[in-house]
Amino acid sequence: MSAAPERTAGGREGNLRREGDRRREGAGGAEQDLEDQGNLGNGRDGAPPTGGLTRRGLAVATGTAAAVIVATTAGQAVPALAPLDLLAPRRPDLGPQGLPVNRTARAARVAVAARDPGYRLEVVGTRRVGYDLAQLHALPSHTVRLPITCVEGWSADATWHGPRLRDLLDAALIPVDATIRVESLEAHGGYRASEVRPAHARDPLTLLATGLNGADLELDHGYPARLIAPDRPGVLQTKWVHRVVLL
Amino acid sequence: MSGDGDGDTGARADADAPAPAGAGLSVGGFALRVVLVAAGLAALGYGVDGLLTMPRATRPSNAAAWLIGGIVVHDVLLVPATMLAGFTLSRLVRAPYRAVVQGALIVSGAVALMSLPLWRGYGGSVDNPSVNPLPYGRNLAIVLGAVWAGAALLMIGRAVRARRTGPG
Repeated sequence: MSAAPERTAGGREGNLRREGDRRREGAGGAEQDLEDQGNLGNGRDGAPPTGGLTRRGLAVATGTAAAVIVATTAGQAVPALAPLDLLAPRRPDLGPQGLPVNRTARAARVAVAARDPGYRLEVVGTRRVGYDLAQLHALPSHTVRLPITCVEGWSADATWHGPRLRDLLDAALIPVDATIRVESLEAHGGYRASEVRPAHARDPLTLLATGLNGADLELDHGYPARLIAPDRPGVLQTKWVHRVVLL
Repeated sequence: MSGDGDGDTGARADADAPAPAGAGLSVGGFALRVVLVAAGLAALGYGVDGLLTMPRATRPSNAAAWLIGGIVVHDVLLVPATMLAGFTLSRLVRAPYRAVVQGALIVSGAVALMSLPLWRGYGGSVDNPSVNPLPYGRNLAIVLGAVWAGAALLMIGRAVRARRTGPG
């Protein structure tokens, strides 16, 4: 180390000490020492010892603010933090059947159509197969545990029951490498239908679910049937499904 | 090294002033800056292009109100309020504790502002009780209580250390 910076640093320290003493007007040396040890009010890291936040103190404070915000909101997506979910717009266990809802049946204007007892699910491939409610529920049912992961930032696990999508596709003679479209009862809206590529359509975990957490799907979760597939954004897990067509 | 009055300002400038911008910048450093500036401008351009070409989704008038209104609210309300709070604190709270109070205020303000739509009851949906389902006023009080309890512990720690060091 050259002599010049050392002299500057020493001069500055002495100068700061004088300034601090002047400001405190006879405050004891103890207070000065204390301040020098403090994490937040530290005069050694570049800021004047006014007793307020130093640069490092400011960094600690803003870092703490960020940490508090993350801790009290991340629980809407991270199960381990759910008990700390105090200030997030969702909680993974709050909603009908213990699962949050993004778009309600009323908002999607399907409340009447979805409750129609004459509902039919149509699967259109090389062959056209239709199922009424009773036939849909008579299909071999499977149970999978899959999350709804919403692009709005929340995520919640649930247990789903219903026929496998691939079994429905096979019954309509839809080829294994085909992309299909799942259509909702919704008349309008950017997400009234979604395309399902073969990897998702043929996954044994992909269901056209008719049940959730041990009961029939509630209207807001997509009654009578909804798509639930692994690794798929929630907005593409189409609800109130009434048609599956080969593209 | 310094005389009275303005001497300390000069001393600090000696010690802390960084080299003037651009001075002694290596070719690599200059190239890095050019790359960073170009990347920043490209990102800005992409954003503005999206803002203007997809008005149905971006609502440029709302975006403009937010971008300009945010600056105005910051400069007209937030900054004066912060200055007033800082000035008041400098009169009310003594040195080793003031930094703790300032830090706790920063954390409290950030948390309260971030959750303002929730505890003010903005948004949400009448027919969807799973949106904003928590008692946010109470929860904010809990979080702020924890923040200030932490601040109180820090201040007690400082007071104990001051006593241990002894008077004078």
